[in-house]
Parts: sequence; structure tokens; C-alpha cells
Amino acid sequence: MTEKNSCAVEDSRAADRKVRMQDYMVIGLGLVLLVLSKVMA
Amino acid sequence: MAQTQISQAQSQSLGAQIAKAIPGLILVVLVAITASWAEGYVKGNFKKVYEIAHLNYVLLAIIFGMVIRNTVGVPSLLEPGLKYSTILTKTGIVVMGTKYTLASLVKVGTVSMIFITVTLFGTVALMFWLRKRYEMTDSLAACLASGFSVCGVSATVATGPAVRAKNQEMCYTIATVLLFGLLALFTFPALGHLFGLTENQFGAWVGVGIINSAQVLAAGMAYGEQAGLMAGIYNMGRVVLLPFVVLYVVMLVLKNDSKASSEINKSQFIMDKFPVFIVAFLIAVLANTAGMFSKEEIKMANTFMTWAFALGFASIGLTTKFSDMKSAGKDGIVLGFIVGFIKAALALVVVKFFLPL
Repeated sequence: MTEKNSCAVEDSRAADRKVRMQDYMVIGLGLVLLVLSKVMA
Repeated sequence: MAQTQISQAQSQSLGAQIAKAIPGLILVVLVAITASWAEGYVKGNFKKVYEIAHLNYVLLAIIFGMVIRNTVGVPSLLEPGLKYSTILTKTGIVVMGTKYTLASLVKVGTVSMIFITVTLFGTVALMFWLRKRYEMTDSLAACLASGFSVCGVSATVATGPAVRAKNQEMCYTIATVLLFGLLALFTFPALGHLFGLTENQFGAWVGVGIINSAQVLAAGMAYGEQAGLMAGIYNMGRVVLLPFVVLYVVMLVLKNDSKASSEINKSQFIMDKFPVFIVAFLIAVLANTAGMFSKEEIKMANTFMTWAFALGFASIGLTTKFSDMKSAGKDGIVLGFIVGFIKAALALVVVKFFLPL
């Protein structure tokens, strides 16, 4: 793999990891709200 | 706005920034509360205006936010709290899962998934075919292709680094996508009535015709509750296809570089870009299908969903700068809008005459 392509792959992976972290946060928040809707109803 | 959207999708350790975000979040909450109150006021006192303009809390939150941002402005102290629109709207989508059952998802079914798939990949192919007539780099064309095909911000952020796009090119794409969505948000409901679309048809139409997920949901909800639910299903159908569309775009960019394209590990690429929050949405759907939620609990979940969307849309309005739109330039906007309009027009014909909804 050329150095240029390797850099692009690394950048792409880093961006994916950040979006994935955000998705995990959404999953956590979403599940908390689902539980809360059962508790508070 | 575009810069904010990128940093929002890419920002690290959001938890650590919560303290900084509180002042901005207070503004977001105030705008959302005002929008919610204003919907009731308009509905009670100006019923005709409410029915014609579909001024529900979603549109009002965006409008109030945009008015504040583009008139008095937002102090820099409040900026960190305005970055959470994607998290809030995605969370709303997860909770929205309690409104569906597996049967309702299956009912939308195979034909719709084929329609969505053809539309998404067709948009990319059309963009790459038309781009030869415009002056732009491969990386910008790639960002525009995936941005206008799947769901705007997420697709652009997923594509940009893979095609070595500059930050400005990603900002440009996001600004163009959001500008298109903004116009669609305020015109599609009127067009829907003009063409006599049912709520299901309208939801399906905006589900593929508008690009940004939040704007899809906002337009659907402006037309009616069922339209909002259908738009939500179509939006999920698109989101699932995001990694495949991005891979297709990257392969198109690298098609003249056989060495580079052979170096891509395709299954790893798709795994890396898969939007995992869909799992939580499916858990909500399955829980509802299994009868785990009573009517009262679904009502409570609906309240949480409404507030997640109201806060998300208020954040979107508060980060929408008209000057960003202006500085985005001409060629990309022209190409993006041509492709966006062709896609929306074809989707309208399919939804109106061919799709069993």
C-alpha cells in the first residue's frame, strides 16, 4: 500500500471510530429513554 | 453550520465537553419550549395558517433557531452546546421504534427496499455522469454523490477521508445538502397536497427525495403523523445502505487506479461504516412487537421522542448560517440541485403511480 493511500485509510478509520462512538452514545441514551418511559408511565 | 456539523460528527469524548455545553444546551431547550408553546398558540388562534403552512413544533423550532442565528447571532460561549443535533435526532429515531411493529416494517417491504436501493445507487451514477460537465475535483464529486444519495452529513463524513477530500469540500457538500433540504422542507408539503399524496405516499417520497435525515423526519411530521412514521421507515432503509453506497462511490473514484481499489478490504470497509445505532431502533421495534410496552408507556416514549426531535431541530436551526450557504459557491450547488430535483421528481412519479402504499 502506498504511503498516500495508507494515510487516507487511517483518516477514514479515525472518522469512522468517532462516528461509532457517537452511535454508542445514541444507543445508550435511547435505551435509557425506553426504560424511563416504562418507569414513568 | 457545515463546519459545526463536521466537528459534531467527528468530535471526541463528548462526555468531557458537557460542562462547556450547558449554556448552549439551555438556549436549545428554550427554543424547543418556545416552539412547542407556539405550535399550540398557532393551532388555537390561527387554525387556517396552521393547516396550510404545517407550522408544527418541528418547523417552528428550526425557524426560531435560524432567526436567532441569522439576526442577533449566537455568542461563542453558547456554541459548544449546539453540536448535539445529530445525537438528539438519532436518539429520537431510536425511541420512535416503539411506534412500529415487525409486521409494519415488513409491510413496507421488499418493493420499497428495491425502490430505495435503486434511487440511492442511481443518484450516485447520475452525479458521476453529470459531473463531467462541471469543474470539480474527484473528491468533491464523491462527497456530493454520497451526500446527495444517502443522508447528507453522515455520508459525507464517511466518504470524505476515504477519497482524501479537503475539509472545505466536506463543508461545501454539507452546506449544499442542507440548503437543498431546507428548500424541500418548506416546499414539499405544499407539493404533496398539490399532487394529492396520501400520508404514506408523502412519507415515502420525502424518505428518498430529501437527503438529510433530520429534514426527512421534519418534512414527514409537518405533513402528518403517519407521514412522519413512513418517512422514518424509509430513512432507516437508506441508513442501512450507507456503507454500501459509500463503498460504491469510493470504487468509482478509484476506478482508474486498479492498484488502490484492489487494496480496499471491502468487508472491513462496510463493517467500519455500518451505523450501529440502528440496533437500538430494532430493539425498540422488537420490544414493541413482543408487547413489552403498554399504551401508556408508548405514549410516554412518544413524549420523549417529541422532545428529542424538538431539541435536535432547535440545534439545527441555531447552527444554520445563511452566510455558509452563500459562500458555498456555484458549481457544486448547481450540480447537487439538478441531481436532487431529478431524484425527487422521479421518486414522486414512482410513489404516486407505482408503489403499493
